[in-house]
Amino acid sequence: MARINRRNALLTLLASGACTILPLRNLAQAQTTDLPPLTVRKDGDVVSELTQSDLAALPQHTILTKTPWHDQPTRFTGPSIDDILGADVDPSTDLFLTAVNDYVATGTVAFFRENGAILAIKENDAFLTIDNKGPVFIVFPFTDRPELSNQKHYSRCVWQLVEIETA
Amino acid sequence: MTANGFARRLTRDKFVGLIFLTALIITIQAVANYVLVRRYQSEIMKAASYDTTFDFTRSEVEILRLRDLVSEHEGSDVLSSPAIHMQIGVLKTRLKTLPSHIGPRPFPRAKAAIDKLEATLSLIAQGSVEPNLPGSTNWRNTLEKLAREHGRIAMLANVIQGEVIEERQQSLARLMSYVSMFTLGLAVLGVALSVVLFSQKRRLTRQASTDGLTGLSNRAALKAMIASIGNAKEVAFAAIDIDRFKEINDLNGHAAGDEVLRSLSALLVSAKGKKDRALRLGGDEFAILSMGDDAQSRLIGICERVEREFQQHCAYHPETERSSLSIGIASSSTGCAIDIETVMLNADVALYEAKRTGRGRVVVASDALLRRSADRKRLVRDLAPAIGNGQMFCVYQPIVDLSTGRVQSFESLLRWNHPDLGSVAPDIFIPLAEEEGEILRLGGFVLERAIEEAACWPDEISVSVNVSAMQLYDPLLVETVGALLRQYGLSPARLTLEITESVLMRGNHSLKIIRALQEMGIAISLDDFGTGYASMSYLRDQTFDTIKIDKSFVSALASPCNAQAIVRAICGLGRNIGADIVAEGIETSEHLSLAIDAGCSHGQGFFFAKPMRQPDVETFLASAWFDFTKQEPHEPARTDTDGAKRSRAAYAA
Repeated sequence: MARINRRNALLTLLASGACTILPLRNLAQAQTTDLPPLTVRKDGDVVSELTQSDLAALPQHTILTKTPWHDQPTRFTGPSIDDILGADVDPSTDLFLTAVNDYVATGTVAFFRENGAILAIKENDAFLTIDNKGPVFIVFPFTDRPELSNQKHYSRCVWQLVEIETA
Repeated sequence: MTANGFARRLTRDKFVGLIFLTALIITIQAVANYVLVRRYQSEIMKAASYDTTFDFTRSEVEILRLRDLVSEHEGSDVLSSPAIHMQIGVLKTRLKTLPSHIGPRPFPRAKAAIDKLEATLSLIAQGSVEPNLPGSTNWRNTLEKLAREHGRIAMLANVIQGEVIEERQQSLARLMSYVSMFTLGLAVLGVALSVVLFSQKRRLTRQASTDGLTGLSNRAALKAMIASIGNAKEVAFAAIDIDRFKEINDLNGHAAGDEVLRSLSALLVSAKGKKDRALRLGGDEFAILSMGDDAQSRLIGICERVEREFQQHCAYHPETERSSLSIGIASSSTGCAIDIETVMLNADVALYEAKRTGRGRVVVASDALLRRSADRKRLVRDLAPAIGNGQMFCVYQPIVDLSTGRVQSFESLLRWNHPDLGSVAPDIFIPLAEEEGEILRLGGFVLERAIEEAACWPDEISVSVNVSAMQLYDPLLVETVGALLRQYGLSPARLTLEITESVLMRGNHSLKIIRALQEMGIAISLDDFGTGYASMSYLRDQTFDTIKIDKSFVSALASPCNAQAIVRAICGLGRNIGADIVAEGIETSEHLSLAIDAGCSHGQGFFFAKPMRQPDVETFLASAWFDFTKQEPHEPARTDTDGAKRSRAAYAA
């Protein structure tokens, strides 16, 4: 499954003829860390495959917050949904978020944007591992915005996120 | 205010205490409500928190997946498979997120299952589980059992979660019932507080509109009464004052005064009609407001009865004095829109008239009275500007030397020609000027005009000017007169100032001024002699150049009474103290003869000439002088009326 994804991504990138160097380097890195990359799909086609390194190269945001799974305030770092999809994406676009363990959640771009979600790749400055919600963990600023502390947002805290599909 | 003082005030003033207490209770209730609602909100949040059943169901599936992967790779190195490696990662992440509590309750069985999973995974990570070894089947069984246990925990969590939710619901319902109770309490207290405040306001309003001493309505209540007049056909208002109330208070004490006020209010209440309103407007001012048909005639009846009863029964000092009332009544004329303010003002006019005409009476504001009052107000208004704008002027009446028949001097008299009202009599506007504080300006005006105009007359003709008491109190009078004489070049010997006895009664200051004037060479004449006290002491202490006998004596000379003897005596007196005696009011030849008989040296009156304006003075003098010289030597007939007529003809020609 993972191999097929990588092949598709390579084909797409070669066809587009742009930004070929970065994904290739990151493919190699991804294999060494044993972490699957984050695949972005549009209408079923792979748009990009982003390793933790790729994601770390994007603008980074930090949230210091407790979560239902973190009793102590924890610092999460990573890009926002806009950093990955581009700020010009239609806010009403529906996103299907899939995790390694087949967990799926949905939400519009506007939902994640307005509620300040980030796609964390680091917890307390250490990269997330597969044993600890890696490669990507979606987190909201629960401490700063107590109104987010409910099932509606908890259920969108997808860990081990590997795929974002836009309709 | 100190805390102590505040506490004292709370206990002393029950109302303030009650308000404070209620406000305190409301505040406490509101705060309690707030706290409860916040707790309710947080409980709801908790109720919506993480779902244990879902987590353990997921972990069951994930463990079974691991078992399947392990089965697929049987016979190979488990740890070399990326899929197994990944699945272990998934389960390790799961380990970190599996709850060991459901809501507030600890869930030991879940804790044990978590620990078991963690131990198993760590065994796998150590590579100590080798599928090729005989224990591998056990290991698969281990995972299968673990998955089943997680599945059971998910079911149990579902049951326990139901209980927890039920508890939360009950807690929420309890909280909600407290909130409802407190809210209801707030509403009840709010209503109670409104009722108390409303009744308190009504009590205060009633208090504010009632006179404390008499229990009658007061001036503040009048406004509300006026508002209630509405469509009444006729409204009548009586303004009632107690005569000489200040004296009652001063002479008999305020307790006696208060007793009079109370008895009058009782009298008003008993005398007034059912729909009439009795008020005490302040001090000794009372009023009755009457409405409906024939309001005025009913009110007159009531007031007359009150006046009568009051004079009979409201004696504040039964042995000696009895009090009376001055009452003025006015009403709205039927058919007109009711203007209560005007009605009240008219009633005051009538009241003033009642006081002016002797007190102890009821006066109704008739049209004539109101017109007179309006005229008076108008005159007061027009008086001050009239002095400067030519409406005021002097006229002159000759004073004739009865021994020669020649004009010796003229008395200056002030006239006011009002542009709308015509000629206004001095005995109307002079008192007004005194009341309005214009008398000094008016006196100064006459003085200047008379000196200015007399300066144009022949040298042997003098002028006399009336000086009021107020002027003689003015320390600048001597200087002013001196300056005027110099300004217009009139010799002081040609000026006579006429003063009345009342001026002398004011005291030494006036006497000093009079002497200072005399020292300047100005003659002083005692006017209207005989009408006042006619005290001999003035004549003893003060030298007068002339004494003018009041015209009432002159007119009385003709009738058989003591006038003749009195006039004769005054003339003798005058001769002896070196004063001329002027008989005023000589209107007929008979008056003239009698005056001469009595020994008067000079005469003044219509018989000689009416007061005339300045241009006519010179004409008069020229012709009179001329005629007089033709008949020289002229001896006015003492008993011969024809002679008197002749002489009059000579003057008048």
